[in-house]
Amino acid sequence: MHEAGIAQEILDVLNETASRHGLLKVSGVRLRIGAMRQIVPEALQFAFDALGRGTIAAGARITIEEVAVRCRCRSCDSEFAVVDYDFFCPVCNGIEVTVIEGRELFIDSVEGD
Amino acid sequence: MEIKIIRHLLDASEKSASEIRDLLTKRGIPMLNMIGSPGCGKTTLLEKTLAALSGTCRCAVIEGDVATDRDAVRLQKYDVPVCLINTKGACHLEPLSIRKAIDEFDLDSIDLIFVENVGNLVCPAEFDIGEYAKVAVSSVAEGDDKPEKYPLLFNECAAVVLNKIDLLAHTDFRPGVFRSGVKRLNGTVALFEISCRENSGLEAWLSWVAEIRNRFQCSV
Repeated sequence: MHEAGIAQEILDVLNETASRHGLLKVSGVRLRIGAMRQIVPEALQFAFDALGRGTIAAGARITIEEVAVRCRCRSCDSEFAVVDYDFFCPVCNGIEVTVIEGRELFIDSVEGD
Repeated sequence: MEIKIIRHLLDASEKSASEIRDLLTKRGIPMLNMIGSPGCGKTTLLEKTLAALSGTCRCAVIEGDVATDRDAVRLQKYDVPVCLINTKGACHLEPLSIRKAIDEFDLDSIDLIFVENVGNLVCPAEFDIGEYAKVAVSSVAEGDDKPEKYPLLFNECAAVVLNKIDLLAHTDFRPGVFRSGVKRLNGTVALFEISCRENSGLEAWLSWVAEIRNRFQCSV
């Protein structure tokens, strides 16, 4: 939902990375985003394209690796994938669970020359 | 060439939220982030809560609205510090503005802070503002499918307040569907079914709030 702000942050990181590694052009950026972040990929690319015009990252493609939601049961310690927003333990039916994956929001790598 | 970097995004916002949480924990002040749709009764619930806690718990309110000071004005008669944040279009409150509001309060004379977030079930749930807990406020008039349709909020909150239960007879709202929707997303959540208009069901909510406040006071 807040793709424009995130797109600007990505551009800031790309600028910094480009100058540190002597890149003249950034052609792609790979992100890891947890499903609980509610990021819409099309909206992120759209904002990125608009904000990146005239920068070294103009036209760069965003690739998103979505991280599914995983929890750990605080009763029996099982780890399980959350399917269809069922946040209880499939092993013991425990309701006290900790989200261990699915909130990620980071840049994994940058592609450029 | 490919360059591995691994850099977190939204770092500044999340850092500011954890600074707020540390500050308030140190001072023994819980902050509750109240999130719900426009018109679900967030301000009315705050009015009832402030009136009931008057004399036993010194509250302060951070009131977030896109525009107008109407809600802040409504709260003035409860004689508690109120800080209004007009977001001028933004759909949620962010930790940087919360920090400014907190800095305006005299924290020595506050036991508990309520934040009334902007009326919206999506974005406020995504932003950590340094609260101790999120409270989802919903109402019978909105329908029984809101937990399933807005899973992040109902998953992240510590309590759900279902308001306007006096309207049950006039709607197709199925309380069982609402309850199971909430429990599926969040098995440990506290659920309060209330009517602010008829003053019913408020005691359990007020004890939950009082219990949080006492827990914080004891830990300082």
